[in-house]
Amino acid sequence: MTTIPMPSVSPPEGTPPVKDFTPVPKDLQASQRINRISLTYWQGAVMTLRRNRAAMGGLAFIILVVLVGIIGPILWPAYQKTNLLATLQAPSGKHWLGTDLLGRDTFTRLLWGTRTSLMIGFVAETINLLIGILYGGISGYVGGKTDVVMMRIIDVIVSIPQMIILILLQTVMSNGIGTLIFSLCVTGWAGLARMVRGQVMALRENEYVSAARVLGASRGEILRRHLLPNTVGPILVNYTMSIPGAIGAEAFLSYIGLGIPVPAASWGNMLQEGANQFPGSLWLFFSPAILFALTILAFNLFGDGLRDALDPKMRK
Amino acid sequence: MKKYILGRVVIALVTVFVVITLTFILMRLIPGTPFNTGNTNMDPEALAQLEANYGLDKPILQQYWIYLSNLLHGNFGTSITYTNRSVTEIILRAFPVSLDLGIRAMIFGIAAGLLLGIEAALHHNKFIDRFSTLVAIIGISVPSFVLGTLLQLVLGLWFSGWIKEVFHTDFQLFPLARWESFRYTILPSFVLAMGSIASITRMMRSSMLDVISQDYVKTARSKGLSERAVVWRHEIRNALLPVVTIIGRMVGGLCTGSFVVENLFAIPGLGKYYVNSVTARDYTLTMGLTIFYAIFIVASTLLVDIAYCFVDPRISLTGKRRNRREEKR
Repeated sequence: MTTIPMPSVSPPEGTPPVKDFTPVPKDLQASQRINRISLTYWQGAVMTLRRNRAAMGGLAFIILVVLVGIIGPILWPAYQKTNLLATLQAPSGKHWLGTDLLGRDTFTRLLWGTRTSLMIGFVAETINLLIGILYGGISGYVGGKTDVVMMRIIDVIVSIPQMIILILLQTVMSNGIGTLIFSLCVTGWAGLARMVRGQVMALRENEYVSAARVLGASRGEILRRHLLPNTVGPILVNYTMSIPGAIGAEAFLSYIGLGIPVPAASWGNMLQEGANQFPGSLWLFFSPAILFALTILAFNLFGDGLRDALDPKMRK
Repeated sequence: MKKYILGRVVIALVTVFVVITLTFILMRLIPGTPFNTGNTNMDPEALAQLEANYGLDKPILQQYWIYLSNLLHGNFGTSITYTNRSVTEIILRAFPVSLDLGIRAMIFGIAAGLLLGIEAALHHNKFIDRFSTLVAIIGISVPSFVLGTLLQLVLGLWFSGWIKEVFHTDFQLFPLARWESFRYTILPSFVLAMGSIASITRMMRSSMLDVISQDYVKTARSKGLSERAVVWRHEIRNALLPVVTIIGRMVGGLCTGSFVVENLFAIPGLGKYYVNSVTARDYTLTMGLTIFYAIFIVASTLLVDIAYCFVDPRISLTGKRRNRREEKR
């Protein structure tokens, strides 16, 4: 059986004798002194985040991967160049990560795959973010019957398994980045919309919102100036955590043969090509696999840190 | 409570109906019919005969109606690639295999996840806590197809090769493929369970940490209850509550995972048929299995939600699941 340290209880001491008790002289200046620098919510959040090494490591990695996705393909443009005389070559000085079945350079394809996969993640989740904020904001702020109807629609959308929507749309529509982003956005916004609505509902009852209303602020102004800025924290966390989901969905779909078709490169279809060569040519599988896993890890670490930093209760 | 359950049932029914209708519409959106893809040199008369056979010449609304009533009778249509085999037949044959795999993964996932989560919380910031955090991080970042391939390589190929060299036997402790005896099930179940292990470990750990600092735990301990009673009766029991909710959502994740795992290990389950039907453009099979999956996932989520409602009486009072804590962690 495991043991748990008992909560330490300080030994009962006798109450201090009255004669030893001398009131501290009143020092008005001291009581007014500010001991710590006053920080705004965001300053505090940034400070907490900076102290979190795992989260900062994650952020650094995300920035690195994004830069690689932007700059890499410019420097190494020939991702479709085949060379049938040099197929399935092991990593060497000429081909840093070897070549694939058609003699294409894996390193170059990995750079292009990074661009494709990150683009899908960021674009799809940004669209979801906008739809979610709009839908949730309206639903939460208008309230009443509109809210009930809008939330019932969300209940239904959330219950539809997302993988089924993805597979169904990929089957029916032509495969490619556009279809993939579209199918990620069909139902992907619902979770965020529900969260935004919950936040707006809670904030709506606050005094400063009533004050703004009394002062004659219009509905749109209250929504824009007071309600949405205060939901930014949770929205940001949700956004960060949802991007690996979208990247993972692309990898999964491409892996089972949907998603991004070759000759375009994405992490998913590179993983699939690598798995096809299994157990030979392992670099084909493990170079995208490692990059993929590290990226997902980085997003999760950063998201975790962000959530802790934005939650004042978690702050020490 | 009745009102809550009724509401959930209605939403589940609407969801299934939406999926069915969506599937039907998408099926019609595909240009041509299953028999006329536009580039076949089929005799037009024979084509018309075929289409009439499958009811494709009727007006669209009537087709929809026939489709719905067929579904209600458990008729999901006929597969195109597996000629003369109905989708229902395929489901009946392949679903038990998938269910077997799913249940194994679920039991393993829940057991390992709870154990790791509880131990991590009881030894906060000790080795086991670090270890379970590592497991959770790996489970979340490494997708099942990468983990599966890795294990196939290390345990299936290298380890078996080593055994062969040392013991001169062809016995494989972790076979690479197929679904025959218990040792065939170990790797697939583990790979499929990895995601659940990660999420349950995380949830259980944070939920336990939450409970441990509650006042009633301090009360229990200070009134002299044994450590075992405090941990089991007061901490674990209460910490389990929020974890139960994600078990319902695990079903969807396990289905998605089975698409990959069954292909990777060549297990003749529903997921393998599903993925094959998608790549082979076997529309009727894809659509039929889509609807089956939707019904299955929605129904199991619903069942868990209703069960949860009996476990946690607070729901029937507020009519709302306590989502906040689990979203936070």
